[in-house]
Amino acid sequence: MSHQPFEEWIFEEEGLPLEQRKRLQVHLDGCRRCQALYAAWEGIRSDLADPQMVGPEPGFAYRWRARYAEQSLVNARRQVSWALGLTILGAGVLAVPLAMQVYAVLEAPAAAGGSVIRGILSLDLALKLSGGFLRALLSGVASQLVPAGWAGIGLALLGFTAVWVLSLYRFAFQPVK
Amino acid sequence: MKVADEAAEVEWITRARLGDDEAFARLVEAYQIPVCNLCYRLLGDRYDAEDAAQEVFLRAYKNLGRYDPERPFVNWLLKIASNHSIDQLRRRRARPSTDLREAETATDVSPGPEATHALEERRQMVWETTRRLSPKDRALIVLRYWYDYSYEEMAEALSLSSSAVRSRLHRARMTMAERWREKEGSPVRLGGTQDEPSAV
Repeated sequence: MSHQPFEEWIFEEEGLPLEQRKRLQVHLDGCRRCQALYAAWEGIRSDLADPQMVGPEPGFAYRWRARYAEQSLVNARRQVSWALGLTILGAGVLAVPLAMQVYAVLEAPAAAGGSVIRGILSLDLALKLSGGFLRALLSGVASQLVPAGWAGIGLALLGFTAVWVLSLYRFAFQPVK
Repeated sequence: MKVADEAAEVEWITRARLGDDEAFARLVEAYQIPVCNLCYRLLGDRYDAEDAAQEVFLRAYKNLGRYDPERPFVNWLLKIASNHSIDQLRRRRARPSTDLREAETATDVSPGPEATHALEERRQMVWETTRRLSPKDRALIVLRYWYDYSYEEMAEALSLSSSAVRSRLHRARMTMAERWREKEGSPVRLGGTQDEPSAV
């Protein structure tokens, strides 16, 4: 004996058309299994419609405020820790070559002084060279590049600047939730 | 389900979106019962339910910018509550569930001293039949019978298709009817007859 579509109809909640109701009734009269299923579902459905709403203990909103404040504090601490950690890391990265320079000066002041002067001179030379290179590059590119290209480069630079500023803002100033 | 006055609710949401903690706390006060009740019906433990409800409101506040004002706020909250409770249930699958009866008698307003032992027993049976369903099926049953959700609302809340909701609900009802029958008397063999192999 097939139990379809009667199994479907037993659990149907939208209300069956009269014809289907009659067919279901005929099937139920002759099928003990579906009868049992029907009776079980009717039993459980009446108990499922339990109107009780189980609320929290009094003071739920107060406890939520406290938890929210606690979580905000934890988040703020985490944010500060990250900012501080990154700053220390950056400072550490900068401190290593600085410390090496200081050490070199302390070891041999004259040699260090000479190396500083040489460094300045080579830096000056490098700057001059890169300036000349950039000028040549820009004048070359400028003659080739259409105005839309310049606009694109300008927008990209603006975009990078905006992302950088926004990141700094979010990282350091936005309130923590 | 509408708990708070609509104009007040809109104002609280607007203010909360601007970072007004107190305005969101008003929303917590207004919707604590439906959210907590849903968590309780799904988790079956009063303390877990309160903890889950607190977490639901924290998440809701954090993600308030994503709330679509065109939809009912309570449905959005209940969606978060359903998903959070389902996650909780999946995490603690191996943990034995606590007795719902003790908590219900401790917290419910009704039915009072005349609430009979038989009524409590039947509640316990309902709980026993629902707690063995999968977390998502249990959520469907709770949303359908405690919150009168339509199929479309359930589909939206649990990120399912309407047809998946229908088939899952059908399966859940069959499973529950089977267990109910097992508890009350002779078992119903689903998918077959008492005398013959499955013809379905």
